[in-house]
Amino acid sequence: MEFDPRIERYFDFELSEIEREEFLRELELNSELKTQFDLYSLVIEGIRSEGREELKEYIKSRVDEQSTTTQTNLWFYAAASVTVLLLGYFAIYKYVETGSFKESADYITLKDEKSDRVKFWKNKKLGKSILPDILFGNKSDSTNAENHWTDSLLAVYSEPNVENQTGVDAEDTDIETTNPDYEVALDDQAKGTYEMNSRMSVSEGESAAPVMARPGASREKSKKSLASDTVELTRRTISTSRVVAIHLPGLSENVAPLGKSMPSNTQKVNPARFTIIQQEARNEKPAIECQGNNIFLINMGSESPLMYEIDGNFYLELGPKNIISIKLNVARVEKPKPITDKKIIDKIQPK
Amino acid sequence: MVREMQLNNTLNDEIIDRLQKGDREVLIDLYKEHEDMIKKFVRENNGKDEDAEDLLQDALVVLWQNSRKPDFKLESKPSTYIYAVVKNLWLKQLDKRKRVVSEEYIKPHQHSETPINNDMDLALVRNMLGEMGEICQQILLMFYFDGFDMKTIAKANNLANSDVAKSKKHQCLKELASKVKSKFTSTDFYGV
Repeated sequence: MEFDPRIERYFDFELSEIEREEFLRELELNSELKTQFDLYSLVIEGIRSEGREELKEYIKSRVDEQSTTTQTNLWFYAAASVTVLLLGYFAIYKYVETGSFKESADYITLKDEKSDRVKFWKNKKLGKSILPDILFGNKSDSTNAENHWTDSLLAVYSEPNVENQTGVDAEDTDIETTNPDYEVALDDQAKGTYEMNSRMSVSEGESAAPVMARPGASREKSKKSLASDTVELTRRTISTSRVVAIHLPGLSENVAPLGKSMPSNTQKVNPARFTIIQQEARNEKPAIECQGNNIFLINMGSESPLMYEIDGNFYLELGPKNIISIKLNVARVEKPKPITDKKIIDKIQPK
Repeated sequence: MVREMQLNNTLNDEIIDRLQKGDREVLIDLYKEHEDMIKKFVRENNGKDEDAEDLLQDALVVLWQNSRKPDFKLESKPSTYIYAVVKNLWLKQLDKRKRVVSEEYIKPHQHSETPINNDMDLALVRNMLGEMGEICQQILLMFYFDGFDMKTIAKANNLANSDVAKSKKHQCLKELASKVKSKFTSTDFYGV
């Protein structure tokens, strides 16, 4: 059966006003045309109905997906906090026993160290003026106006006699040029009048400040090229946290269930301390660099990285199933891959 | 005041731009932004949260389809537009529910004089559409539901140009109509 082409053109709004009126008149008189018209009407309405349902389903699934992700994230942060609290199965015994966060914290310092430097910071946003008192009883640290403190639940430690170096998430920003031949002098950075991520012309007369040739830079040898160069300013945000690696029982280690007596050898583990320096910088690939116990994370994007120690190996937890094996004193590793060892993953992130 | 209006206009332009480009994610942003407001409205008007979710999805579908009409303009804030559509849909639904209840007692089997594409028939068309090739489904949905022009459809489906897309659309629609027709008896349509 051949369909009248005017039907499709009618539904596609392609008929002229005259054609349309004529078509509608004929529709009333021609039953076969009416049958075809009804069929097309049903088919087009069916297509629209499918489109509506499909789009509604899309909206529903995307909204559900996002709320699940949010819940998962919340769950993850809650779990991470609880995990730190547990501190590898052995601090929890003290916590459960005494119900005291402080005592649990003291316990993890393993007492024999007689250290008051290892502290816990519990899930509160603290102003810089009160943080040092709470954490370390050291008012001198509160004079550092640049540092600010965010919430977390981390084991942290302080370094005596190093001002402004205590605590977690001390943030700072460095201004850099993307051209290795130039730098912004530290004194000039403090002036803070730069428009970031923009290009700046360097001329001979201005070369001393704010952008200057880096000592030993090739361009410095040639005043001619220095006079006509441009550099791009960029910002590197640095946040520093100090954490105690959470000791987890080794793969072969038997652990008493919660509430039972604790294996005696766990008390002898010395806490390993790390300084995690997170850097966010443009034009750099994600990377990890370990210099002793200083771990540099470049563009790795993690809110509260935690360190774990299992059988003498160290692991950095950046997020769900995103755990990186840390080899101390290993030079820069670009785009480090998360571990796939299920046993280790399950220990750090128990299901 | 002027600044607020300018801000609204910019916001509306951005939303319209995203809608017209076929960016479905804008609907998700709008959903999340208006979910609480719509739930509150529906709860206050004898409805449940599920009704509100369904209505908000429907309102966004309406916005999606209308946004591609040539004369479409978002004169008010998106929230005002969405609220108005939801309100209208909800009142219609309440009215329909009321009528269904009374019709069940008064005139249970009265036939309409005009053809009505009932849910079963529409489901059949949707099934038939699902049996068609991927390109046909895509072209028919993009044209009759999303309201995209032939140039966009051609580009999205790797067709040479809008003429090819139009000819393909004609072919697909004819094929679907024939398939649907074959499922009906001759008396299912008027005049036969």
